[in-house]
Amino acid sequence: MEPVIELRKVSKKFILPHLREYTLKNSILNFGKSRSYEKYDALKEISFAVNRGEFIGIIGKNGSAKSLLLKIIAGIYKPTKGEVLVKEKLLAFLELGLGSSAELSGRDNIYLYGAVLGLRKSEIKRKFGEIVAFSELEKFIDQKLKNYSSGMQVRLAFAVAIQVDAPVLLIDEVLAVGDAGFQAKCAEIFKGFKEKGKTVIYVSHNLESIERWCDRTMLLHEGNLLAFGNTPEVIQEYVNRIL
Amino acid sequence: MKKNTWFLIRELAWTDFKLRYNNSILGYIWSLLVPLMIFGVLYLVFSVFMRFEGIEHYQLYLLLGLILWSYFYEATNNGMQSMHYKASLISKMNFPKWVIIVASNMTSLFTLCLNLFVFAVFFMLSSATAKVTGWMVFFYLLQLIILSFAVSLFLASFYLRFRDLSHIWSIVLQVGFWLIPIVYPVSIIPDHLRPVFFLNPLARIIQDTRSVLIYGSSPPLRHTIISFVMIVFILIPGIVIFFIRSGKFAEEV
Repeated sequence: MEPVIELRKVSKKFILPHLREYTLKNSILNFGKSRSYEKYDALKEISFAVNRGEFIGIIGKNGSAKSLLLKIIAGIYKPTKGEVLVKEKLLAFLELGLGSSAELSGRDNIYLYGAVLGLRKSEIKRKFGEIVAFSELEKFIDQKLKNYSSGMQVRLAFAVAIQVDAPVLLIDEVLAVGDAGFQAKCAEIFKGFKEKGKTVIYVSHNLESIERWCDRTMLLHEGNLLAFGNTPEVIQEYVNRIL
Repeated sequence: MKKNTWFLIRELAWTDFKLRYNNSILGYIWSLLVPLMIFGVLYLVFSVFMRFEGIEHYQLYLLLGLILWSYFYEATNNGMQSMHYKASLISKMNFPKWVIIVASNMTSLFTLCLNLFVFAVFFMLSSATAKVTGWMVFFYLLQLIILSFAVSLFLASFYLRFRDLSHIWSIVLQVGFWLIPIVYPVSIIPDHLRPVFFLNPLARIIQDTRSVLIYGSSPPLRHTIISFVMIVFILIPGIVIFFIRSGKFAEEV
């Protein structure tokens, strides 16, 4: 099978200067002085390939560079070394409701968030009724977002997010919130992704949901790819070796 | 360019505009208070206390100068810091970064349009008459918009790396305000220094806009060519540097 996402020896180094040089003044004052800094290897030579239609999980402790890996795949961060190949249109959900504004109404936020997710105005107009119905916020749609409960905010953002039709999706724990009803809706959506043959990379701490959905899973630890394969085995390894 | 880029720019710009004026017309009227007070004070000082000789329609001259200047001021300041304002968006979404600058400048452009409407009201209340050369104003506004965009690109490229750039830029702007004939007439600049003052493309643009709108004289084509050449000389390196630097923005915000 042809890989849709391929990483070849991808490394990411961050330079942590001991002296913060975020001003021109400091740069001039310290010009020519030797600067002390630490290098931090956040990702170390990661290589893997994901095939079309696979549902891939990523697990690991906090700080194991799971989100960083998603950002690298999404092209938000550039790798220090190595190559990232993504062959189809990709959309990353690193935060639900990204760019939305508390001072604007739910209606305005649907358009704003839709624009951020790459939807066109005509598409949002056409699907507006559907979005509102899915979020169950008909009565509140002209209220400001700041008057919504956090659950309502998530429902609204989620209703917009599922309108996006990209063949490759990166999902970072955005679905960890919400009550049982919301979780059931998420399950429906995930089922839909599988049926449509979308390629999904899903980061979560919820091992149950990883086990339920992921065809293969990778285990990250301190920037290394410890394991990548059969989901139950990788989860077992995570539980035994790291937790 | 992705099909929805223009829609995204409009949404970002319109959102900021609504937020700035608190989602109401009254919000805009409040925000007019400060510029109108500055206008009033400058008018009082330079028209009643000290009088400039031989300047027709001084109140229109001053108001138009202030409006165009404040567009440049606002567009470059907000454009410079726009990456910082939109930090979460930049660090969690992969999209062309120039979109943020264009949206930020567009927000300032909405304000400019409202301010020009206020100018039109003052114009009609004054003894000045509409001039046939007035249509050319669009041409000079276009120059102003491109110039502000080019400077914004430069500033935004370095602001995330050098956060004190905003202080430096505010000093440059304060000096710039008095190096451009905004409150004073061109005639008080000594003859031999005038070409030096007009090396500044912003001074050129402001003066030419006044010529066509208030005084009905069309500036020589030479001016326009010089302005355009200078703007292009700022714009091209601005674009190049912005594209080189923008790859790192997500990590720097």
